[in-house]
Amino acid sequence: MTPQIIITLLLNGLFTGAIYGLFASGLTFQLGSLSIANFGYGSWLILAMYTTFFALKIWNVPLAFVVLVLPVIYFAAGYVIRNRLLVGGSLNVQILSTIGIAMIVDGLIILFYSPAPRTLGIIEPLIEIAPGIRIGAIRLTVFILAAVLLVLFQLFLQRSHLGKVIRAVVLEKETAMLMGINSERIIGIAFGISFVLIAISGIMLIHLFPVTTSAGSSYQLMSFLIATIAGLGNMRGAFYAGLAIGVLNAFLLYFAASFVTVVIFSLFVVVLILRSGRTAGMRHI
Amino acid sequence: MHRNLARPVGIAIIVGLIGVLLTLPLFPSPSTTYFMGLILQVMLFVYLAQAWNLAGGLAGLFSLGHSAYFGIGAYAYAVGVAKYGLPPLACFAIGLFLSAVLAVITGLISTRLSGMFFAMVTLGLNEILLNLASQLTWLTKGDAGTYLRKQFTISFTTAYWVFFGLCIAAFVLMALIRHSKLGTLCVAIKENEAFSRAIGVNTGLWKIVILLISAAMVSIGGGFFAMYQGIVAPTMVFSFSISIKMLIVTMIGGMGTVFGPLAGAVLIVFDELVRAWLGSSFGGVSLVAYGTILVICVLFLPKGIMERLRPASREASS
Amino acid sequence: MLMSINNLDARVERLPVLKGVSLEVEEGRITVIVGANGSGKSTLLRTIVGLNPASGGSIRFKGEEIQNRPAYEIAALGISLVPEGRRLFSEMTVSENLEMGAYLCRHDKAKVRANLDRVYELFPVLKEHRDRKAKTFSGGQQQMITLGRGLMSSPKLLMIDELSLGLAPKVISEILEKIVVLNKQGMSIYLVEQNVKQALRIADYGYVLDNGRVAMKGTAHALLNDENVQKTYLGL
Repeated sequence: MTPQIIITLLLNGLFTGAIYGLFASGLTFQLGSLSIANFGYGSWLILAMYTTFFALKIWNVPLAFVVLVLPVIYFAAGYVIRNRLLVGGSLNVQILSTIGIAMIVDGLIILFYSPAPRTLGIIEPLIEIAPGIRIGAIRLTVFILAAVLLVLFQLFLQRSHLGKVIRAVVLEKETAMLMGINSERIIGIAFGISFVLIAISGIMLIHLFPVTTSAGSSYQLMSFLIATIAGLGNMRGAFYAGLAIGVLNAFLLYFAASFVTVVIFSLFVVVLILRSGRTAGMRHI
Repeated sequence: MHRNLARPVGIAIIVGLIGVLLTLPLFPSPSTTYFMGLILQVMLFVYLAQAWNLAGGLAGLFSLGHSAYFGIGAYAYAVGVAKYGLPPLACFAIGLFLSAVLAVITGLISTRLSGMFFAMVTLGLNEILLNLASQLTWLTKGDAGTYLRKQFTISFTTAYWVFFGLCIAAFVLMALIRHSKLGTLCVAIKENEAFSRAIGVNTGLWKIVILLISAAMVSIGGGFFAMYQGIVAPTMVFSFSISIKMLIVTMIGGMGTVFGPLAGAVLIVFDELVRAWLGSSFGGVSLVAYGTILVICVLFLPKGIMERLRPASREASS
Repeated sequence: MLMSINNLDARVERLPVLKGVSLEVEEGRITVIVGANGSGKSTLLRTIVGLNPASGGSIRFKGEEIQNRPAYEIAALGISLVPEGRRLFSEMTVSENLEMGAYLCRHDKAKVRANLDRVYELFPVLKEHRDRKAKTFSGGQQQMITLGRGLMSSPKLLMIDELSLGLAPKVISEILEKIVVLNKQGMSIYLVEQNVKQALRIADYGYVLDNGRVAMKGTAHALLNDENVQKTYLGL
């Protein structure tokens, strides 16, 4: 158990955790700010991963194309789902609708992509930053990208006009309408944006990990965990919590691979219970 | 006019249904066996749905992890008889005990968490059990599953009658509870928990009680399932898809109603038919179909089928 | 007639709250609705502005029927509601709140600038602390922010719901003075108030709402001197 190994695990965990954080911040945005319980979140991530794989390996589409087109499709999907299916639904309706949509997505994946696990099979070039400490180049790139994206998103929300309108609608949906703002449309847009985060996370994740049809639920639960630790709606917190979970995951995989799920889910249950008092009224970003 | 007809028609349908179910086994043939197999699946899920209905529909405890009790019941029986040679009754008792422990824990959690978070915790608990079942190979033989020798299993026909009996019992139980003090308390807690607490109802206690009953039912179902299947594997029993089926059937049929799960059973019938028709290579289609039906039902029948069948009661409330 | 309401019925969660309300708001005037708690004053405003459905009757604004249209459309027609309880965007700064108020004219930078200057002129304390979050201000100052926000869209009709709630009398007078100033500048104002005396003092015309119906109407002066009003609402 040398210091080199610990640092390597730590760094690699951090870098992977960045994507978890990115992915989870989309969910935390949906949950906290838009008060939408989306139980189909994981399936959409898996879909993005599969689509990226197929685009790159089978349809021979350049990565740049995927990066430009997939997020747009996802934005549209998010907008339509929120404003056609989830409008005015009670919590149970939302949960079931999103589960139903997730099933459709899962089914379509099996139909069109076939249920085999897929991996881009990229051998990750390793950078030796210090004697004995090697970090993955792709992981590092992804980390930087995720961090930059999140900063940009925060800036968007804080400084841009649309960002402010979104924040206003999230704070006071009815009052915003008094100012001539079509709150429902804005929430749809916000939902669409959070779907874009899913798409980008998926594109990045497939470069690091293989994807299977059953992976959706563990990503789903992981991001719920991260969102809950961070506090609903707290996107910056979600990023940091994602980093922490990434590190935890890395260490667990190294030491007790088979019990990763149990530990993470137990942590999840415990955190939820501890956090239960503070889950009401988290309405700011 | 509507209301006066609905009652006798409904009773006639149910009597007819029971009649068919009772007489079918008397005419063994390939097609009746096929139908009986289909019906057995349906009965199992109607039974489980009714169990979920008690906690989720009546008391509003929206659990997405009810399959945990199913798995506990199934494994308690399988491991009990195969590994430790315990008599079946003892295995069922152990399963019930463990399920009760989980139910109490879940009930306590429900007093601190609401709606979506409670649902997530139940999901998490199920996943933990799933993972444990997979990893504790010394106990459960892991993913390979625990096999049961012939003497510990029951035949197809016996299973048919067992599940038929369980279904009847479940419906009777639901009807009894619904019209009892427990039932009224649960509905009150579901409608307005804060108010119930304010007038002195010990909401935490009653939530645990109803969860215990629900869990016990599911656990027993799991045990018999193990008996019938002859093999228990983690993903077979600690399955989110089982949890969601219980839920969907109830929601589509009508949460908190006695016959909701029966009405929702059409969904299962449809699902099984689609699956049989298309074969397992088209697993994707059945998922898509299932999901689409779910979405359509949620959009157009948010209160369930039963609500639609009661025009008289709707007029009364406006 | 800027706005005329005819036989308006409205329910809140299935309970009838407004029962056949008819009234008029004249352009360039301060019209006031007073009444006890629960008489339906706020519901009336919410129904006008589209946040609550009307189950019968009509609302005409500048000749156009506006009942049951979505709130953001009605705002675009020139009706600005300063809601009950202030309802600020609490996590946003004063200038951001005002910026949101100007949503409808966001493309006309000059207009926004002019409106902003007007608001800061009326409420200098807001200009001083314009980068502070709205939730950090006192009750009276928050009311100023809400008022300012309501003015940013250059409305034809400014409706204010329960201005005085939770404010000290001195603060109330201050703000009411500003309302008068606004009115002198040509703004039509429609006030819903529980504080009957102060409201009637600055108003031109008034209605008394009782249990969802118009119980009395008349010039503010007449209402102030009316025996019934004095007994029921002024405690005299």
